[in-house]
Amino acid sequence: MGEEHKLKVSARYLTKTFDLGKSKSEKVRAILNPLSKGPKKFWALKGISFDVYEGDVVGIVGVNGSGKSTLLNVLSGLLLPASGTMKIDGETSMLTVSAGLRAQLTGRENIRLKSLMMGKTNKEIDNQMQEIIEFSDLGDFIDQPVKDYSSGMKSKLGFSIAVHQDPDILIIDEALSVGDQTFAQKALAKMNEFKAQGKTIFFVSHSLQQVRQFTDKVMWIQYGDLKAIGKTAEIADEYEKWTKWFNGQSKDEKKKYQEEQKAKQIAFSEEKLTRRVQSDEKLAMDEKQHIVSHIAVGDSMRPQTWGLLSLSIIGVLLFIYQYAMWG
Amino acid sequence: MKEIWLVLKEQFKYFPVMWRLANYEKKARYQNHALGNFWLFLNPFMQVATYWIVFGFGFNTQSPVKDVPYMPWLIIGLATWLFINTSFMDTTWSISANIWQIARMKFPMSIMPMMRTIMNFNAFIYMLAIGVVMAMFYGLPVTWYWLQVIYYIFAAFVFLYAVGIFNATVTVLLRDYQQIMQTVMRFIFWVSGALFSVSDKFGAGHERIVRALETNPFYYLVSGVRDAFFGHTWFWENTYPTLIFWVFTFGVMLLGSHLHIKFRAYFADLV
Repeated sequence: MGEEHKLKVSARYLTKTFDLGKSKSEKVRAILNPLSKGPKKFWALKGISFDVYEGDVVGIVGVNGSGKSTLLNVLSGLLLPASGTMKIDGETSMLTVSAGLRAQLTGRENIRLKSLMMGKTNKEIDNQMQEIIEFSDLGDFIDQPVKDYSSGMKSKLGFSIAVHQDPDILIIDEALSVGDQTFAQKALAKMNEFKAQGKTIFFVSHSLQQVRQFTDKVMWIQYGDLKAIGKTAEIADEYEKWTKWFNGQSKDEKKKYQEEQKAKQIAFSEEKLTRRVQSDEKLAMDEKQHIVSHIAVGDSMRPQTWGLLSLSIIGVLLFIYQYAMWG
Repeated sequence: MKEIWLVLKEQFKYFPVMWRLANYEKKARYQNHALGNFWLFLNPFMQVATYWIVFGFGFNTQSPVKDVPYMPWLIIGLATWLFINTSFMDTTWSISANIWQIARMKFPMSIMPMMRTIMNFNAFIYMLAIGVVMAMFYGLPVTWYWLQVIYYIFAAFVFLYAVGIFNATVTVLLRDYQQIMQTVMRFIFWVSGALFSVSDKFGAGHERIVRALETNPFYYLVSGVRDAFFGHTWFWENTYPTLIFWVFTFGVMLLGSHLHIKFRAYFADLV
């Protein structure tokens, strides 16, 4: 099926690490010096690879803390991956419950603010305003401050704004799990409309039923690893089986299992990642090298820049001296 | 130099977005107030009124410049100081406070500091206008030198752009910077000449110290706008201060743009 469709998102061995218990100055130092091993790292993503095509609706499932939100944040460009490659063809628009809504502004004002941030002109917003308001089902509440909204209303508003920004790739983080049934149906219709237009949707939900209903592919993320990716029916069944097994465990066994997994995410290392990448037969040699190298910070200061900066400092000091002494 | 162009190009490319957002934020600031947008005008007006009462009637201060009445002298300088000071401090948190909202948007974060400056510009113009009308009421003649105000406003914008990029970036990397700058600005206030002439306070015999203190960019802008209305010289005749101001601004712009480009992909990790 992938053959005739355009590749929209292609990720190879994406990793994301968070520093455990480090102060901010240490974080800055760690960024400046990517070679420093530093204290413990937590591998929120341990090298995730996938291809997503035009028109795919991909559900992302996994237990709490498995790395779903981290993956979405990396996809949306908010966080930079620690290593690995990611190619995205198009504009992404991310939607989380109440994200980016300002509590003291009304629903209508939030629509304008967010649309302005998306680069729309006031005229374009005026033209679209009524449509967004009608879609949101908020009625008179649209002129109330968002702080008085229920979480369901916030997500309705957020969803309505996001889908009217005409994104190529829509990323939805649990936003539909709080809406009511009628709205969920409407949202589903809108998502199908997007799908028909060849847009790509990532969809995170704790409701497996919604995932089955909305998506045609599922990614199962388990403690930083991509455990499985494939057709919704198969993976959803697998995941459901696993959750049943997991929930069947006693409280102590569950806790022990989770702690083991978390310990693995701390014990994971760049060496282990390199071994994984090296043993991948589908990758070309030069690609392997590229993937394991840590993503470096932007250029360090070039000699010319150093020179200009030094010159301006010396210049300022000399001129101040000259002026202070002789006017 | 490359980094300066990169960030500067973003400012021009996204200027319409910046402009619309600034106008919207300005209105949104007072939207819960009974007087609404009227506060945009009322705020600077009340500030002028406060200084009028304290210095005009209370202390009965004399103007440091011969033949120039104190009140317009004070208000024109103070308007400039308040604009630069407020914008300077606003730029420090312009990125760090909104990172979660702006990081995923379709515009670069580098336009946030300039947006803050644009937001403060209206109040400055209102207050400046009050000062100028007052000066004319006192019988000040309109001269060609007044045109220099355009140069000084341009200089203020370039300066605030340069320090804005630097401030916003450094605040993300080191939160303490904002507190440090608050203290520094309190000190700079006394050598900016906003309320009184620095040389008057030091008295005779300290000309060199006074001149050294007066090379700070805040003094350059505050006294520059005043000179435009009350002075009888052109800005290029003020060679060394002008040179110092522009070379300093260039250095900050270079360092700020470099740091901004180097670190911006990590901003969300650092906040």
